[in-house]
Amino acid sequence: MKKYTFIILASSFLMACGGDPEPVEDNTITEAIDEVLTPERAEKAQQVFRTVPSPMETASIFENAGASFNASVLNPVENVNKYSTNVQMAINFGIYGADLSYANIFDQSQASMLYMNCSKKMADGLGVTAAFNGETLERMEKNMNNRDSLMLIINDAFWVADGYLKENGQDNLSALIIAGGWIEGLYLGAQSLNKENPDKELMQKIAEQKHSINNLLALLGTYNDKDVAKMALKLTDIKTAFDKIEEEEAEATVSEEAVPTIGGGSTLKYEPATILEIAATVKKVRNELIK
Amino acid sequence: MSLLNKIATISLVILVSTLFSVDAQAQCKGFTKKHCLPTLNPFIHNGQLTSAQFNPGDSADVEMTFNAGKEYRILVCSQDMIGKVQFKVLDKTRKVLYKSDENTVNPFWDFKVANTQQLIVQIIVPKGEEKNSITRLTPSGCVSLLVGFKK
Repeated sequence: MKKYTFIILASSFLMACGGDPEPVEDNTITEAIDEVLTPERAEKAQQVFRTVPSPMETASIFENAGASFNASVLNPVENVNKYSTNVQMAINFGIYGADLSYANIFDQSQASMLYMNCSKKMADGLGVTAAFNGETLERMEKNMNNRDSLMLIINDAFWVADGYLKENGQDNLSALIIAGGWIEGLYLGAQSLNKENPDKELMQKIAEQKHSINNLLALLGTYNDKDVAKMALKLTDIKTAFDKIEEEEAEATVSEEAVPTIGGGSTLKYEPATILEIAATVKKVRNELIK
Repeated sequence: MSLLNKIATISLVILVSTLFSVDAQAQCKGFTKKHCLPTLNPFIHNGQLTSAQFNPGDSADVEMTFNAGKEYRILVCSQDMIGKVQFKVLDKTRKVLYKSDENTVNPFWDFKVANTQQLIVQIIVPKGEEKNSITRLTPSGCVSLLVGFKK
């Protein structure tokens, strides 16, 4: 039996779907341990890959935590003409994609249109003209006031781009798109923090991105590419700030409700100063990327 | 066989394998969009495209972060030819928190997390028949892992 793990590139954004699934038997169990692989053996026996939340999910998390929309913190539209190399375009495709997701989550149709055009320009520059073709743009315009449909279309466009790059041996650019999108998503959330009196829930959501940076660095570590390595180096600064957050582990449990809740897991401990430091570091890295 | 012929043959095999792999990847994406995404309703897809070609007996671990305060659906969806693909949800210590029913086609699980945490979704393809008795080919099929959330 072949046992392996596979990389999941969080290439894009949210979708809404239709159809009613069949009910499933509840098979919640809390006693057994997977005997095949302990964590140490799993790491040793195979590569373990991780996923990174999409910018749309990150935007949704921060929106729920009370973040507000602020168009002035987005990557300025006029910057779009600055990016000429594939690496710059890939990173900023991720960044503009995150801005597009953020605008869409906050129902900002005008900003969504602007950032869709920026995303198109980056995609076209990378040779992925199919991602935002005439038909896609028409569908976007028609659904500009329907957030769920727009999510579906945006997601589709980024899937097309991701698929194209992978099929053409440019996985490294896919990785840079993911990294750019994740950094921008975190940056936008962190920009909602009030430095004098930071909101507790927002700080918590920023702290929880500690899991994601570890996943992202692990993901980038699987590439043998100098530009991906450069990106990983930039992310290391952010990780250093996140490392100041302490983690306390408790045994995971599953409740027996209609919709079970997984309890336990990790509790994060931090000072507000640590979160502000993370916000400042993310801002510095992000501003270097959009130059 | 001359060296030139050998090189040509090897190149052709590599080219055909690559084209097949690219084609399989595109087909898998199409299958996921058409047959799997609708089953996530009423959850919002988290945007991650997670699909690959599997053979009988294969398994895969996918490590994901789940955020506190959201309700999630994990769905594993697969093509008929590789049987009823199942999944387990494990915590960091690989303690099994959930195991899908082995008789369910395209199983899913709805749950919440009290604290934001990393979980492992383990995908298991049943062993089944390793090779088709007529063609002697090992069947392979698309398996997709999809995660949806409610706000």
